[in-house]
Amino acid sequence: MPSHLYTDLLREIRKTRRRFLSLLIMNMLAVGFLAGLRMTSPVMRHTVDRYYDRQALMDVRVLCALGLTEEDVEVLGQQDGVLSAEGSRSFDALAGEQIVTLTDIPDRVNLPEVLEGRLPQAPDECLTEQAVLDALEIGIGDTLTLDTSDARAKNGGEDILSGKTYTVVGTARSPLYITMDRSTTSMGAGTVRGFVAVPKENFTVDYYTTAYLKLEGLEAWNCYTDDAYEDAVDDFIDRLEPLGRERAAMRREQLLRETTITDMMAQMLSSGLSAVDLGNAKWYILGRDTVESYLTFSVDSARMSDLADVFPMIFFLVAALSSLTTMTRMVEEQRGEIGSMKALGLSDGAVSFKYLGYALAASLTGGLLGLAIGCTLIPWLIYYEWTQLSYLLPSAEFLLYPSVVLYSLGLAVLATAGAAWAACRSALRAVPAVLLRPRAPMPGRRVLPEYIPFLWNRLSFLRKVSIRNLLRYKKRFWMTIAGIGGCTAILVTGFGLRDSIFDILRWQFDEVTVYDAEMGIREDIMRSEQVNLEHFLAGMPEIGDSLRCRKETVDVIADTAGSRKQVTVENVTLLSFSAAEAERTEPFLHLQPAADGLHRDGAASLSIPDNGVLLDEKTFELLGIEPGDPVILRDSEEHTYPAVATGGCENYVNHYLYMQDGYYKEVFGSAPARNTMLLRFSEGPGGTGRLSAEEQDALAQKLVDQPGVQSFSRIDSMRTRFEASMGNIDAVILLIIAAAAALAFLVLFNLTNINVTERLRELATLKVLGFYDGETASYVYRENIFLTLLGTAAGLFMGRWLHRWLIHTIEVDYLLFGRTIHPKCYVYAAVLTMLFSLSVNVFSFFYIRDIDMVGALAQKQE
Amino acid sequence: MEQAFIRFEEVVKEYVMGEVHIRAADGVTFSVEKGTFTVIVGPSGAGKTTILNMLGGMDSCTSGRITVDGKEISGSTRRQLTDYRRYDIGFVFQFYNLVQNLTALENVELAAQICRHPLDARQTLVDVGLGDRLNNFPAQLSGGEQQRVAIARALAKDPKLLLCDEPTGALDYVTGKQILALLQDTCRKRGMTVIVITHNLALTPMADKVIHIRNGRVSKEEINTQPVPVEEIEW
Repeated sequence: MPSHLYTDLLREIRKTRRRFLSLLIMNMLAVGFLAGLRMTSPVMRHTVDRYYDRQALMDVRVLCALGLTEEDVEVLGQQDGVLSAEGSRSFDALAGEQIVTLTDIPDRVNLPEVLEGRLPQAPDECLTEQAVLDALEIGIGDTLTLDTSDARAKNGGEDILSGKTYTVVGTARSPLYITMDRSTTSMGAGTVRGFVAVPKENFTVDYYTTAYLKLEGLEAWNCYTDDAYEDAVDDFIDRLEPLGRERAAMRREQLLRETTITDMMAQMLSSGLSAVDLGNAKWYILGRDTVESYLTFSVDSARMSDLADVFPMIFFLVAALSSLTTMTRMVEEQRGEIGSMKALGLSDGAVSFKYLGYALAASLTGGLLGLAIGCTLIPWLIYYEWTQLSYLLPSAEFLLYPSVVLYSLGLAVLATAGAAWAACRSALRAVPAVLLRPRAPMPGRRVLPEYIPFLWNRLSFLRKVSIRNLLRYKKRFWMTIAGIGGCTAILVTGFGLRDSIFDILRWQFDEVTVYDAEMGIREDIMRSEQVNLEHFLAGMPEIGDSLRCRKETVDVIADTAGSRKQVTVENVTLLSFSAAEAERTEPFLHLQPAADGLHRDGAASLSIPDNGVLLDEKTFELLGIEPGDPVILRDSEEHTYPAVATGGCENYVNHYLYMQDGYYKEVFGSAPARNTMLLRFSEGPGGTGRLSAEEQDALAQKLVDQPGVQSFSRIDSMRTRFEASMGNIDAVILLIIAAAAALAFLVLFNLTNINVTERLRELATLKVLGFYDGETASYVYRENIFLTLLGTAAGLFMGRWLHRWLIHTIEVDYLLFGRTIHPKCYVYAAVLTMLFSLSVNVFSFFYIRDIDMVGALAQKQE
Repeated sequence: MEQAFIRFEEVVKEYVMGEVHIRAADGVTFSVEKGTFTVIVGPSGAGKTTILNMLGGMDSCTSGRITVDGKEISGSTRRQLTDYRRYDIGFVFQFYNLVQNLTALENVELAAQICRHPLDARQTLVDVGLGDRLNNFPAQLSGGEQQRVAIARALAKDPKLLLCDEPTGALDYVTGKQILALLQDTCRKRGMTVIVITHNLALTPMADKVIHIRNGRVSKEEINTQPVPVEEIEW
């Protein structure tokens, strides 16, 4: 191949650097965005998995209500496949006013990572989390005092800890708790602040609450992504079950022996271990997937991965379309040169070299840059945002999947170079003589509006030309509409997605489940206790209203006897009310008819049926049933009961099933035992609004102290938890919006660029005729503006559709996202698109102004 | 001394391309009288087009003075040059440069609508012999017809000066001759000052004045007291 072909290629790039750069940047954006988003979830999971490995997070834990003995732990350690086993104690305790998880400092499993300070060395030193220090307003070197009365009470009155005052020597994070948000506890008000870890010798109990096991050879796998990991753990758990039964029985006997030996009086105490139903003492052998923070991360990263699967593809398509147009145009512009090359006797390959080389250079350089930037910046940014918002994790560790590199880069190169190749092929098929002859200009032709003289005659020439141009160059017309429309659609979707996600929290907690708190009541509560409790509630000024009900968790199965596939919706919260209570649900629950993911103010409310169950909208949709269809309810013991679903009601978060006691009895065969009270706070003294956080904490404490009350939880804390989790996705969406904006700008820039270069000659002619710069530019602008308007309008429709599709794709089972886009999202997207279009036009004004008339007109007509 | 209609005085045009300086016009001096037909002739690359571009306000000179109708063109701003092109100059090119999407009539009207005192577009087209092709698009016209439209477009502006760069370069012999005849007629009948660039020495007898250009300079100026009608010239 003649070496001057390289020279030609390099000079071509230099000469057309605007086009080359826009092609390069477009490829960079497309590849970077696609690969970056696709790698985000893997990077997150990789980082967290490595963190787990470093800190030796347990693979399996064994829990037993009766506790585990030293010997249990030893036996566990001797099991096949166990790398190490360690017994651990963990209790709820109070540090000042704050609830903390009191635990021991492990030696082998679940190692805390010290962030500041050091590990405790003396028995009266402790390690804790920054959040605990912040809440207590103390620092490292200060002391904290623990109140373990709750644990003592549960331990039959014997204290569990010798020393109570500890010097904080360091802060740490633990692989067991990677979320900032901690579980609520049965112990009084509010949530756990964090852990306080003290040396083992401080504990005075002779049993462990949990045994943690680390298994051999699992570190090579990623616990979030490799099925092999889960299989290995499941296998191990299955093998351990018989041992579990054996050891639990031994423990039961040992305890029974101890109780007979010890003073009979001790047995009379109605609390502590001896109060636990000894027959119920079994081993719970569980994997990581039952650790709350492990699971939260799993769900969050999965949502990230779903989003990354779908969204960048659309983005990629728009960029690819634009690259394709650019390359096709370039080859068409140079057909004369292609002809002379062919006439010189160069092979087809040598002639195509320049164009393929151009496309390859732009797409490869752009793609590689995109990979370098996208695969580091995007995961880093999103991960950083996550860890800022709701996770306690080390900084990101990067990795790159060759498959992601290959297909993102491959697709980009294929789109750009493929277009060049296809255009070259069609040009090369012609004989040189045809190519050398100037291409017959696309003949002027009358267009439809000309046959409406009434309109046509009123138009000025430039308008006439614009209309003819628009209607005649159909390829460019559609390409432009698709490009601009695609960008608008992505913007609409980005903005809409944000609303869809955040709306539902507002709707769920302000419009649907409007009660403030839920109180768990012992099922065997005595009548007198219940009466006392109600009296107590009535006497509390903070409580506005309360409603008793039955709450349990069931699975709902579509009863489709004939069909092949059985749909099951798991973890549906069943609430059953008596006929009288059902009349009073309105202040606690606003049940409105399902409206396809849109809250409608003031819609008529639904009442809870007495001859069927009312399901939430999402369950109803997932099951794919019609009102009046049969469903099957499955309780926690796997018993199934047929029922009838009367309809769906508005609901966004979690699944709910509402029914009346009469029907409950009909379905389950027994009357429902009351176990829950829904509470509404009063509007506060003087009607100044809801209770403050402190007032709520105090109230919670008072309530859980009442006999018969088992637990208390505020709806607010659930809302906060959801908000934190949704906050994670916000960073991604903002990134999408930013990237869509950049792409929109580029696509418009490119299209305008093509439009201008195609018209170079015409524009030069106008300039020679004496058109002012503004008049010349408006010749192009008029079309651009029209195309932008039309493209934007098309994009708004496409966005609506894309948004809906995306919502369906990324929606998790237990959530129903808003399906409707706010009008303001359309406005934002449209305004942004037009703003970009405007700035591109301003930019091209200077280009048009500087067109070299002489040069443009001296060329032959092409 | 009477001021000539067009005066070039020591006009230099230098292009700088990297380290190479090219003098396309190297001290060009000539004058043209109003209402005359002038032919600028010379071999390829002699600088004819450069001179025409400067005269037409499409390019500026590096040094020297250009005056047209008593007005100095050299040293004009960009806006002034546009005004000059708009109101004073009509251009005809080798490759017609018609707007493909406009009919013949519309192409002429396009130019007419930006002028202060345009001629009637339709009449101008009738005058160049295209009365029956008014509503045809450029692609539906022959080369000669397209060039007539281009001439009509230039004339409709009623310019002071009609500049033609190789107007017959893309046309066959007979058609070329017809176009030149049209230009000569325009000069004679309308009193239009016409300047034609060509490399074809055979055309020189038709001009009132012939300016020979060689290596960026005027090598010879001839005045024909008896210009020959183009129909009588053979080449």
